[in-house]
Amino acid sequence: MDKLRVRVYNVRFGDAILVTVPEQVEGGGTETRHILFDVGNAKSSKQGGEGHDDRVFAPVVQDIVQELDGDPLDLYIMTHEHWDHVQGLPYADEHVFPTQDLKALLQVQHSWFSGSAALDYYEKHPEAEKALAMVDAVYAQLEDLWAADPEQADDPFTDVLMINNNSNATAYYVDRLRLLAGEANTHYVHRPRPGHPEDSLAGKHPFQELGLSIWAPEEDTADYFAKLQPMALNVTPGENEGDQPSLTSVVPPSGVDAGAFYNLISQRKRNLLDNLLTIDKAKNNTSLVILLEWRGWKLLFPADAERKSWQMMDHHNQLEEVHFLKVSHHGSDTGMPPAEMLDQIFPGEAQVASDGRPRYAVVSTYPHTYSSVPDDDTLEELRQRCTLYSTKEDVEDQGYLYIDLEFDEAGDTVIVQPGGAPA
Amino acid sequence: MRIRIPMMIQDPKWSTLEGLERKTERPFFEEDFFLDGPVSRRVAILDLDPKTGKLEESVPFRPPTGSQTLWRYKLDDPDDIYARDAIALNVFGTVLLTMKMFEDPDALGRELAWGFDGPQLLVIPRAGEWPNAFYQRASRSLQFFFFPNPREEGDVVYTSLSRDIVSHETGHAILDGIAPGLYDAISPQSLALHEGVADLTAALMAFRSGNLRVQVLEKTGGSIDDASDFGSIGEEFGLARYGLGYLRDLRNDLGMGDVDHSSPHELSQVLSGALYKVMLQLHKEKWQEGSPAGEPFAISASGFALWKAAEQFKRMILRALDYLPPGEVSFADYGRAILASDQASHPHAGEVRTWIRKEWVERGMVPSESALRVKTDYTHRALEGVDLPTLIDSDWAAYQFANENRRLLRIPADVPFVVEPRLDVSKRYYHREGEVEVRECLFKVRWVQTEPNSISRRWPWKRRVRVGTTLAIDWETGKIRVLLSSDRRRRHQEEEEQQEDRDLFLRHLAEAGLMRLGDRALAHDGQPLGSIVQAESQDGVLKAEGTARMLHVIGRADHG
Repeated sequence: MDKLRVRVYNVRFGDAILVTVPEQVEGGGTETRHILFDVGNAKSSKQGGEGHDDRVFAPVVQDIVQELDGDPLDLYIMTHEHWDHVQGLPYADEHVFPTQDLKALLQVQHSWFSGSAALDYYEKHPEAEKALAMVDAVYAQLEDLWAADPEQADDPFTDVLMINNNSNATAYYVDRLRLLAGEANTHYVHRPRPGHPEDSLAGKHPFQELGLSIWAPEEDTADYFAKLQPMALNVTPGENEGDQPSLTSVVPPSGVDAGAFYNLISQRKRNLLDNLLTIDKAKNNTSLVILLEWRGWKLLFPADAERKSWQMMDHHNQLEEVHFLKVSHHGSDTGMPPAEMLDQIFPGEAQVASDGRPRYAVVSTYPHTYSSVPDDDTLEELRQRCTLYSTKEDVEDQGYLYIDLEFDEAGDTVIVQPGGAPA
Repeated sequence: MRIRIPMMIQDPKWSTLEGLERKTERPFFEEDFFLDGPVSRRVAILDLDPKTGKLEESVPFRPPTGSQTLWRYKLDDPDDIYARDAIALNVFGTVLLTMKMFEDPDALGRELAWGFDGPQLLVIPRAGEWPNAFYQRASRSLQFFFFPNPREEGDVVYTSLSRDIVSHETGHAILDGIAPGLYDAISPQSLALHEGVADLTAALMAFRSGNLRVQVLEKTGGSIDDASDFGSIGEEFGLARYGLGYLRDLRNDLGMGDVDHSSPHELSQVLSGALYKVMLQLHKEKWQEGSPAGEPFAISASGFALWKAAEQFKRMILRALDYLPPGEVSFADYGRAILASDQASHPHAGEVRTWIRKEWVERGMVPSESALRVKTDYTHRALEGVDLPTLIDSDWAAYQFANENRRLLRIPADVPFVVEPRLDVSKRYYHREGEVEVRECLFKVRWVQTEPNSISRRWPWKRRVRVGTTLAIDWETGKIRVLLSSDRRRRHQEEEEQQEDRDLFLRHLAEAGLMRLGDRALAHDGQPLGSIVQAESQDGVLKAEGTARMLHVIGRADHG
């Protein structure tokens, strides 16, 4: 009996998912095709930090190559330009397969990238370009701050946020991923707009039986970039070009209470964190949200979509009941669809869908990487609606490399099996 | 110590566009002391460089020389209004002048107290590049920003040069000291009241400028009905950002059905529009009264009429703030406070109160005039034998009084309550017979009610709402001058509407991710995030605090 398999690898705080699809093809017979999502994990500039451990990539990419067994990778999907979704394959090419060409091993037939990863995207979208300029300005200030006071860079949470969202750093990996399928078969995709035949997915993948649809994001994602707050980081640039910046020393003037003065200075610096989280959220909301349909099964892969993206999907009447959910944004409460939208994806508090098929979800996550992620209440709410697995508890803690969910074509069974050996 | 400080009369560019010849004025100020800064006991300007945070050189405070008699702040170039030191001084003067207006003997009649624990408001005149300005209780500050004018290359708009914007934000700071419970309100009308009072503060400050009054009335022939200089808030800002000559226009006929009830900024325009219309009527009435016989609406009478009307308007709006019940309040509560304040002092002269009731009903702030009925100046046995000095000084006596008079104060049985520090205030009233000082004891008590919370199943099913009662006791007669409560157990329609609005507002905050529960609202270091309201669930009841600090994040209403 044919089974569609979803293999969710443990890459700690990141995503790496291999979907293996048996397809009936013209002329009879079945062909097995593969889709690979992302491959990445959150990076810290600190060595050996929890959650960000590049050692995870070796067995993962080796397993992917082994599973392909010489067959091409039919579709690679880079869901969005965050380090924890882009780093893995280029890293593996350099460090895991140093004497081989990973591109040749994978033979990627088609690649999908989020629209905002297109090289000419910002030329065509002036509002998005303005948003990017604001983000770049924030980064420039933060880099000056860390140069002036390296101790402030020691904070692991801020460190991860900075690196994950550093478009200059992630651009290196995105550019390498762009080469996988070649220019002609690299597609920048988004939710199709009515009256725009060029948005159709026809010709952008080889699947004949599997249904693929894109629920998000829009073609223009500028609206996800909320206004940033002004930051007062108290950094004085060096006198000459190339000089190190320094922290501005301030003392209260005569007649001003010192405690109140320094409290004000401290409060003005707090916007730094708010801004980093706003930037992070905006990028998450540019995630490609993909629905796969196969023989009655519906599997949703929302990457790191957050609340506003879910609201847009709802606004465009995209949401429908599914059987499988890759939990968004590593189990954060902000990645969880709002209650009434979750009711559309996983209606009713039962672990079966309205058609009687069982419901499943997998969260790919690692604690103490992002603040309050994963969120216990979010995962508990999901457990009331489906059988939930975690790459931390059910894979890494059990000594495995991945968890497989196999959806059989009869529609009544899902076999769940962890497997593989980590490094 | 008495000095003069140069201040902008109107936004700089707007002054030019409107053809105002005189752009600055130099009112007098009296404070305990002035220092380089400028700094005084209650306000300190911190001119921090917007890029580096370096504290710039203070504006020096120098003794008189030659024929001068007053100390003064010495500017490098008094004609350059965009100079750093001129901007700092302008903000200082505007903040102090706004405070002075509230402290007038016929307004609040006392020195202001801030909403934070400390004597001094810190003000940053060039806080950075951003089209915004705000008051922040946590940092005890007003922060004014600037931005490049997208419609004019090379031009920069400084919010600290806008008398409207500076007095608006100062209005927020002052109101936070008078009614601190509004800062944590979850009722959009409470937050809208904050915005509305701040806008009206800006309008009052415009009316207070004799120079502006003269220049505008000369242009308009005496009428203010269409004069944007008084009724438009933030003209230069609005022109630069939106191509409109205002950020908000108080000359509106907006009703409750015309605005988004989840937006405090939009709602505020209903309130401020209603009161501004009353001001226009006040001016017309006094103009007509003051014009010579046979020459109705003589231009010669308009200026004095405008001054009189503005003073009466000021008294009406500002005195009522003292009578607001503590906790969550509605536009109806503020309407009752205005009417009660006016009725208590002028029981027989009711024309203005007629206009106010009409506006409140026509704009849908109350269902009918009967909802605004207030009883003032009456005896009550609860006050027999009450020693007011003891009631003021002794928390125990105040608690005992409240506990023994729960019914009078509308406090439900068996519900714990908090008695706020009592105030002994004197205000000047003008009667036909002459000036009268009225001394009263302001007694405020608050407690918590619980109501259903219908925002989403992920949130607690109940929420906490603070309500309260203000009792104003006439010191001389021992009578109840005013008693107003936000307890709405007998005002079912008002209560339903308030609950619905709270549902809308909280749902909006939750859906936008601007309000989060518990630790989710904190950064990884356990400190609150600036752009998130932290809500707690205590025994299944939702508590939210600091909602007012979101006002500048939620955004400002603007409309065509």
